[in-house]
Amino acid sequence: MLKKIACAFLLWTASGLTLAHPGIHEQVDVLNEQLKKQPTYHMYAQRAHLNFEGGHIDLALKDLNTASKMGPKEPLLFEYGNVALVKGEYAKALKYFNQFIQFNNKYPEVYQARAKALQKMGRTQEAIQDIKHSFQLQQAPHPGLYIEAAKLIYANRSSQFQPAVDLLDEGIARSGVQGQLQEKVIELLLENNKPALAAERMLLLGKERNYNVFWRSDYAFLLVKTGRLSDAQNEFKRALQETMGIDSAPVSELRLKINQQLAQLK
Amino acid sequence: MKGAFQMNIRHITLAASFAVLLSACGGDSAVTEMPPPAANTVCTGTEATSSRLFLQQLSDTSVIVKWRGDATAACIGTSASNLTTRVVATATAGDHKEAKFSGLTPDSAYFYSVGGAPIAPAAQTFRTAPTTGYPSNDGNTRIWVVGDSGTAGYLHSDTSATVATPTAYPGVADAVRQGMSSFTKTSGQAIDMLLMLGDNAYNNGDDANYQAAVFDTYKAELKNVALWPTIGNHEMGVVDGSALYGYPAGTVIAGGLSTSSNPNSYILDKAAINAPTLMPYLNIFSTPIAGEAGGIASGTKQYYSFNYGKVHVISLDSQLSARDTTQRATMKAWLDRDLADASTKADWTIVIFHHPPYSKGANHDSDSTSITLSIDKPQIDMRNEFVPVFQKYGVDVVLNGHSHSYERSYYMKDLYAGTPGVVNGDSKEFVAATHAYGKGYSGRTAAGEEYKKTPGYVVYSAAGNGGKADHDYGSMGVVTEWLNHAAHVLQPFWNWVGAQVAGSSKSGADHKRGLAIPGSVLIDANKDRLEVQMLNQTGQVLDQFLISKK
Repeated sequence: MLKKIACAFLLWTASGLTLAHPGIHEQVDVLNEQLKKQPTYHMYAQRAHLNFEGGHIDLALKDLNTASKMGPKEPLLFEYGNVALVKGEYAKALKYFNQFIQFNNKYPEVYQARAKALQKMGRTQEAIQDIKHSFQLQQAPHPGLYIEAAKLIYANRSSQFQPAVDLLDEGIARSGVQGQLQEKVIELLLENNKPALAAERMLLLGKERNYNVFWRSDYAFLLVKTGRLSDAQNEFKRALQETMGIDSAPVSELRLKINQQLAQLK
Repeated sequence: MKGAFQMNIRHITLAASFAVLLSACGGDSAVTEMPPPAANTVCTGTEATSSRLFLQQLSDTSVIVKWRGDATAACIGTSASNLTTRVVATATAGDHKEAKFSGLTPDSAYFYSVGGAPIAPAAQTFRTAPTTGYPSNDGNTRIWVVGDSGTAGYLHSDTSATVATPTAYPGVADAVRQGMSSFTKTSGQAIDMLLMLGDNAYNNGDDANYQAAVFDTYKAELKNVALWPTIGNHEMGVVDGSALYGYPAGTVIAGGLSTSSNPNSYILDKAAINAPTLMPYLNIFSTPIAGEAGGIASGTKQYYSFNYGKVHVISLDSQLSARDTTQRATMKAWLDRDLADASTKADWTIVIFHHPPYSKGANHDSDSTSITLSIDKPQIDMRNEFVPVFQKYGVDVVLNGHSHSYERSYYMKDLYAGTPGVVNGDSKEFVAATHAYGKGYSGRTAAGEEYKKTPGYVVYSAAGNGGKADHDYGSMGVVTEWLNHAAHVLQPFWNWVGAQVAGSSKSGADHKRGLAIPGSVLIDANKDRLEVQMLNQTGQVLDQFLISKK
């Protein structure tokens, strides 16, 4: 029963009810009116979520506390955890998320949220495990989720650079598409001063980007960073040749950029 | 590539010419000496019944024939009476079957059967796309666009698939379809593809809704052209609205209100509230994930692109991906790569997604500051984050739904947050002299105000009138605001709105920049011109504009 209420609550809060599609403040107004007439557990829980989304963290917490006095606390623990996370109370957030998972272990978002708390506490490996587990619970995770997870794991610390790349590679393997995940790998490699590896990765992207002039130019710029100036020059020249006969504005701009780069290389 | 293709075409043309020549010469010997056709040993079955039959991922060299039914294979060929290639189907999610045919000849007619029959039933035919980067043989690509067309399954009770309840909009979507059909018959050119702008199947986007609103309504078209959809808010199921609506608990189920970015959070009705599933849309459609029909691989079925000769079409996801910051940024990064690629080969680029960046449609005012955190937030985010990318890469037309009326902008630029003099990209910030081509040209041929293709300028149209038209200004608050976005072109048939609201207390007199009339959009793209027309239910053209390269 509790699990059902929790799921209902989670879905409810994830969906954001509206009346004739108004904004969040109007939704809170409607709830306020309802609460005046007949306050219920669900209404406080719903208002807590709306207040949280609106950035009114203390009001959200107040509503959660009221709701928890009127009904089961377990379904509210995910929201309690989110409030604690935003307030920087990571240990408390972790406790709430742990408790919620005891109650519902099939909800992917709670693992992603717990990973954030774990990461903030320096428990990177556990964070990675949580992220991977959240992906296992989803049929086809959006590429943006992998990128978000990679950012979380990396968090500008070079020691965590490889696990972030590994996770992105897992995403590439699962979807069969290089796309934005490979681009994120390249970004991480460059941030960590590994342009040669980045250039290798860019080669892997070539087929998906139809080896077009923009890809070739990106590849050539990476070759410049690796110091392979002659190769870079050749790639720029080839790209320039391939732009011949294309009169679109973006390609014209690219042509200009390539010419500038070639002039510098001379 | 170009040389190889040209040689291929020449070869086919010569062979065809020779055959025609033999036939035309009428030499008896040529006829009598021809061997009888070999028995077809490949396709030997019989045509099977399918409750839905449609084409997906149609490209210049491949197509997916998709259906629901018992058949386990499909056949294809260039002659309706002798199908020569058989593919065993793959069973896919949502009780569908798919047969993918590859190695087809670009811009060519094919016939097909489902179940393995050697002869194609009448009307089961399609044409492959022209080779990417090359114009079609007939010189024109005709694109039919319907927005918010899913009313055939929209029941009065507003619950999921309770079949006993009559539809709330009987026959409107079909009338719009017939309007298009009438127009194309008169003009002598059929459509090459069908784009759907979201809210394809009211009220919940469930399988039964899709059957009624898509597969039954557009049955004829779906056999001939590929359907390319986008995700609307009504594709994401229902939530229990009891608390907010003030009804007794459990009595109200409201669709179209989800703000989740997770396609796995779909719920159909209250009974399933503790068992969310993947949204049916993603099972029904086999949209490209890896650039299967051209364009750059997106890595998700939620947004994609494809090529059709010299036309590039992009379908973005403003319902799910747009609601999460990182997912939105990822989609934008993909769009950047995709448009860059398109700029090397396409003459025309068309973008579709559900939430209009510029609209004064009832309930979906893109100016409203109150939508900052609500279900319509994508209107703002798509405007301020994606419009700059459209401008950068020379997108020509952006088509949206959501507002159940027809609006379309001037050929315009720079109406988004952060450009000089613009804070939010709202209607009141539009200055014709600054933002509009020709300081406010209508684009209409009759007025001599056609647009010349100019980098940075785009036309935006909210055309969510494919299945119903609003008869009221909804939650806008001020009736004079309704259909009066300053960036939208004045509509000569605006007074039809007055007729539309007859019987209502609202006056139509002030609605001048939009049409609250059911209809659809037809796009003709050829080498030098992109013409867009809005058709009503009788096939009459109520609005038209032209972007010319010359």
